[in-house]
Amino acid sequence: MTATLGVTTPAPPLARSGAKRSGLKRREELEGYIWVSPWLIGFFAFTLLPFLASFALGFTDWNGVGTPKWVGLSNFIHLFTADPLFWQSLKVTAIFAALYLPLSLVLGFGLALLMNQPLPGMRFFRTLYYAPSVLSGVAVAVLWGFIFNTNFGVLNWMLGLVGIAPVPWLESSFWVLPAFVIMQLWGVGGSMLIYLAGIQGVPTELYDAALVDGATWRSRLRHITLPMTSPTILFNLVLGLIGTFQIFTQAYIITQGGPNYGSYFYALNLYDTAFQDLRLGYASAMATVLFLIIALVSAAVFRWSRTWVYYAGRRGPAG
Amino acid sequence: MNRREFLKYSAAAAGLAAAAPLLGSSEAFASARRVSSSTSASLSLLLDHTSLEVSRFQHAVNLFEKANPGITVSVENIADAAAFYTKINTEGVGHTLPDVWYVRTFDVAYDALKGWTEPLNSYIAKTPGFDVNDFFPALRSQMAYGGKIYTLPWNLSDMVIFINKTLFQKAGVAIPSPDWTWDDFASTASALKAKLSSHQYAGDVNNLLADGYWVLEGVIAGNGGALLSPDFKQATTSAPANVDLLNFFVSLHTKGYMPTPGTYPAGVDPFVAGLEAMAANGSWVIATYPAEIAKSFEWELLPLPKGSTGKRGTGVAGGGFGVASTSRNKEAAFMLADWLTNTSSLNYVVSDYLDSLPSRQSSMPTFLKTAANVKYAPGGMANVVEETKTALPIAYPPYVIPLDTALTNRIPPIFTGSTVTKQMSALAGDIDTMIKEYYP
Repeated sequence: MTATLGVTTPAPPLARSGAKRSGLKRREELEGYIWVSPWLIGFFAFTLLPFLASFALGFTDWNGVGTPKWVGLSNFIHLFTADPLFWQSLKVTAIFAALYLPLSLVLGFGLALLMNQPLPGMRFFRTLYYAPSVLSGVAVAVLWGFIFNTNFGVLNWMLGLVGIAPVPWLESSFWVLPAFVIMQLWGVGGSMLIYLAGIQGVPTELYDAALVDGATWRSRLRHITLPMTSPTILFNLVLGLIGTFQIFTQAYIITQGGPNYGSYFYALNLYDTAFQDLRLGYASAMATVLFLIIALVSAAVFRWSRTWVYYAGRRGPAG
Repeated sequence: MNRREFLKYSAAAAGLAAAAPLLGSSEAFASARRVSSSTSASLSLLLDHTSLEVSRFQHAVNLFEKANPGITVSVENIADAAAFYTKINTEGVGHTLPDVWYVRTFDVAYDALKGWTEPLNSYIAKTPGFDVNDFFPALRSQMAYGGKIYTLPWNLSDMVIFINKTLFQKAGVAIPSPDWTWDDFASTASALKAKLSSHQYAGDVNNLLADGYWVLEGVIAGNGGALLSPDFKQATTSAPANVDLLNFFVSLHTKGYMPTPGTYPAGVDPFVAGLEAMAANGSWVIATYPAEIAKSFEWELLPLPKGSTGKRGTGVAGGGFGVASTSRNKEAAFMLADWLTNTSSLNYVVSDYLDSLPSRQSSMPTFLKTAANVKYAPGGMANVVEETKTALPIAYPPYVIPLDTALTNRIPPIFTGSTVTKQMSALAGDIDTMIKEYYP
């Protein structure tokens, strides 16, 4: 009532001793820091420090032995002007992201809508779809290596049943990326679960009101479900974006980046440079560039999200 | 199964072999060269082997410690090759490498270039009776980099042709003589194909193209070509001799004699499955095939066919022991490496277990004797030894790791739509980039 009238509710009276209260606050803060200190120490030692060290090493020539030699921007200049594999791996990763991300968003969301139906056995199906997400990446890669086998793979066998000739999934630089997209989509159950949580968090009274107004299923999806779950979609989009730029295991296990560097993802290139060639300074420069790319694309996505993400709790300009 | 797969699966095999008894006796080492017993040191030895091999190494180490009471050796084994290399790379960077560790020949130049391994020439010169020439000639070039010896070889592998005798007999085709050429290979494959079923292949040489530089450069050299200039500073991938040979392999594929690379899923060995009459593979599978094939069919070994130069294009790859440049006991570390690779040690290793060939020619009689006694042993072991003696002395460039990655990427497409000329040109571009990195 007071809010409607525009009257500000007075703050409760301050405690008798302000100094005593701030002492308590300080002690609580200290306790808080002590409780989170294991994480803080881990973060500084194993995340922030290596990150800063990697950033600094990007400006050096260092093979892991002796003192890093300062080379200024030459690693970055070489990266952009004289390293064909840098561009190739960037291209492969970008194409993969462009293919995978939209499909994973649509498929994950679509599955979540299906899994939200009040039908018997739904828990079983939710578990079934989520199961691939908890499997080891290496095991999954080996499994899909069998599935994609041109001559003996089950996928080509199924395609053969409908008259489609065998597809050289892993032997063709054209097909290898679609193969990786299919493989990656198999693990879409993880994002499905997050969408499902978002969908189930939409207030049912909105649907009830829409039904009273005669809204169709499509209208309810477009005007209620999608806007109300848009923060979840943004969350999955950003995580998916970061994940696609870091894809590594499948290519490392199945194709080693081939054929013709057709699956030579950026992270695989980075790994080879750092841990096969031991060009740690150059690899650090690659890592910095990868970080900048992810940061810039993420920032662009966040900026774009202002036009389509709806936060129910956020006040608008008038609020 | 190629060499990489072998390394991967050897970890699993190691577990199975763990229960194998420790055999042999100190008599086997009676003729081992005596080393100084006055040295005092504590050494670390890092291996990348199966449990069975480790038990043999441990036996040799025990005898070494007995002969040198002042020296103690702690043995660590990492059977998984990837984990082994992670440790080596990490410890190399951290200057904490073990005193002695297993160095594959394709790591010799790389490790030397990083300054991780100690040149051994001066230690060898001081060791009475050390016969470098006893190592197989092809290995001698691989144990050195820049004119200095960095590794004492322990074993070696090469590629051979595995022959399914039963399929040959059923097809009524005579097994070629060991003196055969690639033309003989093609004509034999042609004769076989007419008699084999549709799911069988006459002659699969994919492993010659898929196992990396150490194999391919040898095969190409047998045809008078080379992928690299002798100083490794120039790519010569598009040389006519290279292109001719690769086109010959493409023709084997086009005629249906061999499967497309990647036809069989990982872990499936078509030769063991009886699907191939002739198959190129590494000598290391000679250790596992007898038990895997058992009575399924009869098989034997032929050396690689000779190329257009009249020479057999056999490259070899091996492993040996390097001494860390950071070791505080280099003298004692060299003594250990020497002990592990002397004839007596090698004879003990191959006395009842058939793995890769021992590095010394003086161990060949024992090796052949063991081979003759293995259950379900193949014929033609002498062919393998003969091939090894005449293997080509091919050294590895320091950029062999990225080069192998490039070969993995550029070679298979010649069988799936691209052309040899195009792929060799792309490979030259890849190598040029590597050369700029390694020889700025």
